[in-house]
Amino acid sequence: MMYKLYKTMSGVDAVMTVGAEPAKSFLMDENNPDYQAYLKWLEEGNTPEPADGVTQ
Amino acid sequence: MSTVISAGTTTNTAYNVNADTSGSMVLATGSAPTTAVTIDSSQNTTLAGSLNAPNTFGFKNRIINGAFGIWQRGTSFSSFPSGTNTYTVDRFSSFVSGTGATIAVTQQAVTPTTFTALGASQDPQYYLQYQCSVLGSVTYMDFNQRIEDVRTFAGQNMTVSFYAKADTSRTIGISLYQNFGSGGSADVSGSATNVTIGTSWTKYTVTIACNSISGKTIGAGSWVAVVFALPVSTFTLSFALVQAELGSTATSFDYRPYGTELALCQRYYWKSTTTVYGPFCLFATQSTTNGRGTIVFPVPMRTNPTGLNLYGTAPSLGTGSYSSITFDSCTTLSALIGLNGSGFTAGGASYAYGSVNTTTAIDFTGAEL
Repeated sequence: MMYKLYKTMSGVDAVMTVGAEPAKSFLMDENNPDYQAYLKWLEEGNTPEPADGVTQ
Repeated sequence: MSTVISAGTTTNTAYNVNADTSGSMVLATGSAPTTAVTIDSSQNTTLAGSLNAPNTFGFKNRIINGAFGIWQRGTSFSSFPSGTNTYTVDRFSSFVSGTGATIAVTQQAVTPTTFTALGASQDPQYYLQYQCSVLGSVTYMDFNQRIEDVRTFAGQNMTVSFYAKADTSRTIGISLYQNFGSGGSADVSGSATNVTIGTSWTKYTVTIACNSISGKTIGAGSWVAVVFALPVSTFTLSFALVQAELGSTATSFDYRPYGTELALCQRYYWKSTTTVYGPFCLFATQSTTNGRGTIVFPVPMRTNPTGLNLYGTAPSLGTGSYSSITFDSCTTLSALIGLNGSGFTAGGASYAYGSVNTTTAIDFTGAEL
């Protein structure tokens, strides 16, 4: 599974999984289990796809 | 012909009726007569115990989806990561410690009259089967439901009733677990009452004296869980018509209308499935590659969701091509989502809908307890 970063309306980063079912998108909140899984994925040495830029 | 009692006292070993000149009537029962029913001079009636009848008042069951009628996440579950409370049939979850187990939680159809033959007022459509066919290194597993607010049942008796059967005689433990929320006191795990489940459908009843919350600090998001601790072995157990109510008597099962029960479930989780050509979302196109739309929830959720999942095939768009959906923000009432792609008309609008021959589903996570 891969992750991609996005910018939200308020400029806060969001993350979305790529190539997995279901596709997940979530806020970077330390209490969020999906975000905790993402942090673990980063700790394993992985790098997400960069954000395309703020889309206001 | 009815008998009118207007004054005086009638007593025998079975009952005591007192209709005195004050205008109140008291019915007392027991060998040392204790007040059971009081009817005052204004015709108000007070019961000392529980009222039990096939059509008693609704919402006495604090368990949501106790008849296992709502299965928004699916009808079969086999992934139970260690140390995680994994949700299955709506509002129910399973906590497993250890790995290597083969567990299946599945929806099973009820054969008509199965439960009415045992005294239930109505047969449910489904029951739940919990099967562990390989134990692996699992040292604990349960089946539970978290109920909002640690004040629930605190310091009082809770009666849990349910129908169950097992592949062979199996013992489970039933308890109430208290969580005091963010910044609250440490969790309290109540003592378990063991119940041995036989091989044919039987109604079981357990009354638990729940721990008091006196002196505790209660933070936001507190809850209690009615916990069914399962055998640490391979087993097959089936459950139906689960009820947890205040008091020491198991009364008739609290059937609620399907729409009401669904709405109760959706406060914590809901899933929207868009069928072929069905509407998914309207959205404004802010640039040629980005748009934003709002999805309104069917009921206010318990707390702001923190993420979304997209299942199945991506939705088709009225204008442009789809690449992804992102979670922007939420309140308890609606979500703002980003729709990303190409070929949009900046400053315009478009719509997303179900693709040909496929379905698209979306859910929002983070509002469960």
